[in-house]
Amino acid sequence: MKQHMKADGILASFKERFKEDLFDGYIKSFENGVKRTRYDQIFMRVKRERFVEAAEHLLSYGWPHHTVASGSDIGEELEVLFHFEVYPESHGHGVTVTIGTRCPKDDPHIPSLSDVHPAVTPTEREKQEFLGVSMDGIKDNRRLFLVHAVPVGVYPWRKDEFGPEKLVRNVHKDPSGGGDGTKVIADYRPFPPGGPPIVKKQQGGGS
Amino acid sequence: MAHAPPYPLMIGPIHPALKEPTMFKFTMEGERVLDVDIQPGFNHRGVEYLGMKRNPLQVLHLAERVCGICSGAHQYVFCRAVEHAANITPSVRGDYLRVLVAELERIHSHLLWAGVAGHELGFDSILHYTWKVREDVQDILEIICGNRVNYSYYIFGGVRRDVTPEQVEKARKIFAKYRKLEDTILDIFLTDPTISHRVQDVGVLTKENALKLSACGPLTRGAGVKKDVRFSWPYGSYGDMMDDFKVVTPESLGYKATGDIFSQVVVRLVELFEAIRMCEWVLDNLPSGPITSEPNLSALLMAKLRMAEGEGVARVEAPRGEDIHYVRLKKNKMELDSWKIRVPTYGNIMSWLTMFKDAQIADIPIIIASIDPCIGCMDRVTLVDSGTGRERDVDWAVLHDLSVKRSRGLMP
Repeated sequence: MKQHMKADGILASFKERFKEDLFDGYIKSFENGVKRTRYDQIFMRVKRERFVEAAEHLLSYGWPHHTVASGSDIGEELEVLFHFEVYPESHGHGVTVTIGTRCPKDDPHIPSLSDVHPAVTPTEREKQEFLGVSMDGIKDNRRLFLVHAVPVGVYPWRKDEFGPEKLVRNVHKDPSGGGDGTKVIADYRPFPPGGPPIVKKQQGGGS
Repeated sequence: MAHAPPYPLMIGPIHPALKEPTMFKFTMEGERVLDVDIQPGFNHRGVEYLGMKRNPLQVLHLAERVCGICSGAHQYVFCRAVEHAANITPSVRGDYLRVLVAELERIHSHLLWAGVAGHELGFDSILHYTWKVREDVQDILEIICGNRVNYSYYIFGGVRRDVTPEQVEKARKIFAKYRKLEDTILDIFLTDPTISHRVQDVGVLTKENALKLSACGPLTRGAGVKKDVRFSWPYGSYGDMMDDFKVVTPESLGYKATGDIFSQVVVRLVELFEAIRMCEWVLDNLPSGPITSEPNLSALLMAKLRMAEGEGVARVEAPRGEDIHYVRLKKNKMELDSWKIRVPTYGNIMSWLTMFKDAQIADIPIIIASIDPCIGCMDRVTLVDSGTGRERDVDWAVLHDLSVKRSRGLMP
């Protein structure tokens, strides 16, 4: 077994390769117990264009354990973070690595990692339906959890007009419906025919 | 079946033996499973959305209600995620007591699973025996936490209740009782020829698939992959326990890690008694000091959590596998800015699907039960006849009956 690299070494190698394309890269360390055993987690964001390359770079530390992807609406942009662990079979050397990317809301798509790690498909399906972000190259383009419950075009984690507020407000009047009197029928499409919702950039905002 | 294969077999979405509804769509050829697709989401409660409308102290109790069996694991991991986001360090005694309850939960969850697995195989005497035994650990949980199911034990910075010497004494008595049962329980599951026939070489997850598809929990360890968050990323008091305990695989008991359901049975049983030893280790080495580093909750909420800006990922090894929460806090905002939960079953979906390949219809219940799913309630089976296009509903009892008959057929 090759030697386990520490979190700072892993982050440094990413920073060296991706330079200014990597942002918000930092390490959080924690200590627990009487012996104050230390464990680390790395966070980093990589520009959308080099996101797949960054995920591939992670494979150089051995086959990582994929846990899940989380997604957030951060105002002008959408952010998707993939949480991995490197050295998952080690005795105390595991490092939780979070690699994420962002996309503007007027161009809501990011590349899928399904060619890099086959375990990501369910969570990518979930990000499409919950965040309204299209994952380019996804292996299974159906919805996962919301098929029978939420109409296409409503994205529960959005904090803009495509969020579920209207649906939630009317749920007592219309418990099986789409919030406006229409009945929800099973629908496997993640997006309406025009693709994911586009939020026009406000003047002077966003990057 | 009189009609030409392959034909679809729909199982679900409602089933009384499991906790949440899900639907399996099998493609069958005769009795053999060719392919399977899973449709979850029949009971998606939008817990993450709810969490983004509440402050961390409120979400603490919501997190616990994600699951009725590993409720403690969700509260534990949510506490840690918030601590990571807000840079709170838990007290050392709190670390130990957290692990004590987490391991007690593992004991009760594995015993519960053993009963369910016995039931699915048609051995209800096993169900009655293991669930009777499980009552003792439920009693310890009730003595220590005040509750049997939703413990409300974890809090940011530590735990909410200390253990008293009388409680420790009662708990030790029950642990001693459990250790006496070790040989009996191992004997029931590992030497009974009918159980072996039903679970050996059934629902095989290869080591290659377990790694590739990032399986977690006893499922992946049964396939010989030594993944266990308690040891790879040691949180709580596990860092102090690493010299005395190791990741459990079937090899721990001298069996080959074949990745079938039998391997999972071995892993869960060894973990069950390892968890008892861990609880005793924690009680033997319990450090003194405060049980929490944040005794003033209103100050914690208003000063620390409201003013915190940051994100945190926490992972714990729940009884069924790895549980992960991601939390993001924003300054001057009481509610969570973002929250993502991933339960072990979600992480095992992809691996689970590979386990059904080439299985028999009568093995479907035990393969479903084998990973100890936290979703998945089947109540009826819809057989769609590809020849006529006609659907007919088959009650879950019929499917269960098939499984029982298969066990009876193998009885000597």
